[in-house]
Amino acid sequence: MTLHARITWILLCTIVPLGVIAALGLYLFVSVTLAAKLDGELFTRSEALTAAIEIKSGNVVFDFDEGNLSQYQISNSKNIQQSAYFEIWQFDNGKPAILLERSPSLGADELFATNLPPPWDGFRDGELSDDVDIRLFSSRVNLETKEQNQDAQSRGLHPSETPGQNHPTVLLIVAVPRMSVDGPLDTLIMGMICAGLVFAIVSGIAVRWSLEKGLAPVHMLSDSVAAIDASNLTTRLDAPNLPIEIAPIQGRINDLLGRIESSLQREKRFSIAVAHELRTPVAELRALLEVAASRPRSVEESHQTMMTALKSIVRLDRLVSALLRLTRIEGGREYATATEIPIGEFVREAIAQVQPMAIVRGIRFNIKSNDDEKIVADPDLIVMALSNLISNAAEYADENSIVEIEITQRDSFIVMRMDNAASSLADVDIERLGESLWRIDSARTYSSHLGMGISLARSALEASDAGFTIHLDKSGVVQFRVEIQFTHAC
Amino acid sequence: MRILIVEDSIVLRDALVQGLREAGYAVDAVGDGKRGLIHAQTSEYDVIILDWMLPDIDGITVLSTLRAKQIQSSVLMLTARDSTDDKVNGLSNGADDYLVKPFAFKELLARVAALARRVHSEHSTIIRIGPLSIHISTKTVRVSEQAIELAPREYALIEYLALRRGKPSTRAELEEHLYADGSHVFSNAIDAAIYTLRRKLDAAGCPSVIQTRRKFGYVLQAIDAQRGERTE
Repeated sequence: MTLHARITWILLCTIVPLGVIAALGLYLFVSVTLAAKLDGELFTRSEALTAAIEIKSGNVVFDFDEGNLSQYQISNSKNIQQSAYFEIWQFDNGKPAILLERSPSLGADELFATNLPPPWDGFRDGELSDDVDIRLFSSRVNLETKEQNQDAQSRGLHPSETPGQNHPTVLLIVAVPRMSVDGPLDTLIMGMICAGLVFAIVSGIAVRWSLEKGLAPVHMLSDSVAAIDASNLTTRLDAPNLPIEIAPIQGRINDLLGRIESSLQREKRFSIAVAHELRTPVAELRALLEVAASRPRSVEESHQTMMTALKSIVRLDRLVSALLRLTRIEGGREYATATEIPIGEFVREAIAQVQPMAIVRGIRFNIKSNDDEKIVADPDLIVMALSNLISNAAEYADENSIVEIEITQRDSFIVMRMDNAASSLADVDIERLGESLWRIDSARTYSSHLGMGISLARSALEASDAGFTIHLDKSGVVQFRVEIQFTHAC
Repeated sequence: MRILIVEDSIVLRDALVQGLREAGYAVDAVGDGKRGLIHAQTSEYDVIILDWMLPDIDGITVLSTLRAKQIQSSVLMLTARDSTDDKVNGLSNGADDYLVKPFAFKELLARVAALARRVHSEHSTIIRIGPLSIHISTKTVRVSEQAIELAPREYALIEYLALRRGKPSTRAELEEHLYADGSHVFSNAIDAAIYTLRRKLDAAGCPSVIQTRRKFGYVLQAIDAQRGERTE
């Protein structure tokens, strides 16, 4: 799913429910307001009708004036909203049983007084036979009380202070069409649907436009990234006026490009180095043998040629074996075992192997170690790592200098530190020191080394889960330091 | 023809020196860029075989320094770097040819011979001077299509004179181009070689093509041309 679609989906999932909730809220508010208004109207009508009911000579009579009654005349089908209805029922045995009066506007319809469930007081909804929805208000009117009220009112007394007679209770039902409520509500629903559609369209356009504008920097960044391929990895992204949220992404991409570029440069250097390392001995052999075969040679000359060719082949063999081993280790095909190794002893053995070269160059190894210290690692890999590192020190440390090796326990690790003076090294050399086939002398032919010592050591130590760092201390005599962190055998 | 080899691989360098000397070239060889630069500036080489990755100063720097100092020797880059960019880099820095390691020694010889001809603006592999023909590719000399046997040094001498035909070459110049550094050269070595060469050419029926110009040295020239000069 695209970012555009994802954000659109999120916005729609947020906006649409909010719109629906707002519409429902508005509908409920209008509905309640209109219903309250209608109920108020019904109550007013009920009050007016109640005022028109009188007891005369023990009988219930209705004193409707023309103004009141005109509202309850024949139903106005053209303007049903102006119609109103009422029925007055007299109670018998506690139920409204005798219809005393009804509005002419009802025609054949009834307000269903006999079917009204108790309690009879309150508001209800109903329907007339011509599908006119109505709102009813029914209330019981105790005519005695009413008379008492009127009497007390005329005499300035409280109703309880006037003696009454035993007068009947009537049920007054007033109804009006719900049109005044339903009509505006229907209009409101239609309005809200139309407004909702318009809102949806406008929202869709607004969301799209906003996303286009908002995501423009992302698209710009994306286009810039897409324009970068293997041929122009030196290019860096420099999109102007990026929002602060996206600017770090550009920075990260530039960092990544830098790492990819340096990685490819490293691969390129490695390829060139491999080409040189492999092609040179092959070229040596070919030229040597072609020249030798170009004319008859003496036995001594042929022997000399063979010995020279053998040296080249031995060097080639060492190189190919080292490259294959490095490939196996880095590819995880050379599995590491884990056994307890007396690290100090291993270091001393590695030093012993390079002693002849060290003596010639005046290099002295000074080792500080507790020979009881043991690490958990693969012995073959550790031997390979140590012999390469110590051999490198013997060949490349400054002549007549001391190589300091210290093995100490630090927390749960055994740390081996090797320092040697290396005045020919610079910071840039340290960056490339771990690269396969790199040597400080680009010509490569003066050294017996293949230029794979550090890279083989690094790979062997990584395969043994040992931490490996190298750095240059330039505070005084340039000191090359290798620090290895082994797992301590507890 | 005198050739300088700048190659850090001892085995390859020695093989090239041996092969090229056996092919009749005077060959000097050094193992690093610094000494290569010094040799190329202090002696006159027809062809320099130059490795790229050298100790001290790399081959490209040596090459561009030589070109900046107007050293006109033909340069053959001999390197393991085989990418197009590397070749373009080498050629655009002034190399005349580029050969990737490993290579066939025959190819190297052919390229060196072609570069040597180019130094003397000679495009053909056969130089004809009257009845005399010098076949550069096979390193043979014929008079009226009959081969005459020459020692490598004698061949080198006549080839050099033929490439500079009509132009006199001094003894010092001939020594410079025919003998490698450190060779023990007697003071009359060139004169002796010229004498031997003339004798062999005379015997083959091609007398008087090598002339002595007092104070200018030796010149290889057709007899007709010599008459023309005299007429003038």
